[in-house]
Amino acid sequence: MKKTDTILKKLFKRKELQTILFIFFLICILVKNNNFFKNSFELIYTNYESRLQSTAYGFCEIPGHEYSKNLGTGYIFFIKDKFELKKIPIIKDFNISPNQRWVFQDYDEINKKKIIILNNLDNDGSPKFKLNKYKILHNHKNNCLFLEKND
Amino acid sequence: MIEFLYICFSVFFLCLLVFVPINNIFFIKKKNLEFNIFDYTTLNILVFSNIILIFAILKISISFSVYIFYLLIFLTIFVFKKFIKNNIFKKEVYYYFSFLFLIFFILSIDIAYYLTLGWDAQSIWFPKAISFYNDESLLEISKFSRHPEYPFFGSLSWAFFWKFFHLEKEYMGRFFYLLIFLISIFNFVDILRISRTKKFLLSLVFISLIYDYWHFRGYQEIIIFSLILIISKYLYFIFCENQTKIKFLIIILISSNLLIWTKNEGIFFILFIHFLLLFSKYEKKIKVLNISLILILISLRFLIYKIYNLEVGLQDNYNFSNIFIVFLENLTLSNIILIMENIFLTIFKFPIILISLIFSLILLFDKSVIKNVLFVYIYLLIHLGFIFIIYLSTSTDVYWMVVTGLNRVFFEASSIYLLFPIFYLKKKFKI
Repeated sequence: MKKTDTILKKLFKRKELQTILFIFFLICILVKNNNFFKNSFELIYTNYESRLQSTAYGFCEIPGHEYSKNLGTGYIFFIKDKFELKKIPIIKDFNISPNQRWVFQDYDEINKKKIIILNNLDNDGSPKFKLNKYKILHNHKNNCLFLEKND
Repeated sequence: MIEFLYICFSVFFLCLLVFVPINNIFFIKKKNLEFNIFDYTTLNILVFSNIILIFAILKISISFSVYIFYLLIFLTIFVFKKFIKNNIFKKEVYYYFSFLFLIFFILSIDIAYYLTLGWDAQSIWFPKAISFYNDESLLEISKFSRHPEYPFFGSLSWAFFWKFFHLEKEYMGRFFYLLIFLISIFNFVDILRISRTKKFLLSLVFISLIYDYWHFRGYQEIIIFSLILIISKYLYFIFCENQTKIKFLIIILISSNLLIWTKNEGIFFILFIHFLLLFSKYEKKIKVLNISLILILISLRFLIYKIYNLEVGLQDNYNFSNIFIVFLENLTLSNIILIMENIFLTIFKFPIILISLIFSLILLFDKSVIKNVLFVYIYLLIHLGFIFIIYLSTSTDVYWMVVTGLNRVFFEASSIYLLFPIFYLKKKFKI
């Protein structure tokens, strides 16, 4: 007990204790501001692919987190995984978006028969893309679709 | 869980990498070029980055250069065993390493969780990084990417560290951006002659004020910001303490080379900085040599593009044949107001710029220091002038260009303004 007291006294006598406390305080703010524990939890319990599909970019009309706009890129990741695509399909996004081919990374070949439609619904709920020449391979609330051209 | 542990391991390894004495081969052995631990780690990361760049220019694939680096790191540890024992296993290094690791780890979790890439990252920088990652040649990268005329150091380092850890997760590459950012902050705070803990405290203040995931969405501005911050420290010693050491110029030159290869604006920023260096107290022949070297480095960048048949240019938004006519056409009161409005908004968007400029106003009324700070004020004027000129010279829609890009152009070169609060602290507390 006496030993602990002297250690504590020594510690509190230190000139730089105030600075160390400030550092500790700032680290706490940094941890809190960046949601360190929540994000660590998410990293442990969700895998990379599901984060790409759901939170990173949003999944079709479901928005992602604060840094992503409603690009629907999560849906492309989902289709890529679900259908194990080996060629790049045509991507048609009715929202303004950058070229999303990067999702397919090292793929070179383009499959013009398959097409991913993003943000297909108008404000009044009517579809923008005519589906009569296509077979629907996957449909997410008519808003995002994975289609194959009929022969 | 594996991903989390892997992040922890990667961050630890990257921190170790900063202390591996790669730069020993080039500099440390010479006694007149002694560096403290902050200079040492900064130089290390700069040398490391330049070697990656040189490998890419020599058409060495990323996969192969990763293996060369494994070998290089192993060899340096082996060759400089004695040096490491005497210089690395020190209390000072241990504290620095632990603090760097802690902050790096906290912020890397943020990057690994969010993942989102920004618009330009998706359309320009990441596709280039993918090509490097897939060991494509420079010609292929240039041919198939948007804006082939853009330099590629950011994408290259992204791909390199993505490959370095052999984990199929691109964000590992972006950890390098975070590392260079943190190292530049720690190195910058070293200007103040205060205790180690106070340096850590001030670094943490700066990091808290600057860090936002927004900067790490795959954009290149944070690299430019960090490199200019590294240069700022040495500009301070050169202009304010009249220290004319060669080692400062070496670090400035190495950083400048990376700036040239990161973004086209980087070329202009280093020209401004080296223009300021003409007014330093270095000997005339050293100044001439310095400016010649920088002009050679800039020419090399374009020459290498030409040799490899890559598209040479700055940006397709500018038509250089009639740039003066376009400038005069765009020179309207509404455009000037638009640019001023966005500069004002940018200052409020980034608290670090706002704080720095408040200190600049305080210092403006202090006649005793104004002479020392003058070079930063001149830089500020040149920087603002540059923003007006580039946005008024664009052949595309001025409104669109200003709204989408001005904040980034202002932010990336604003790190030098951090010298204002440093000046103030130095004067106020005599540190």
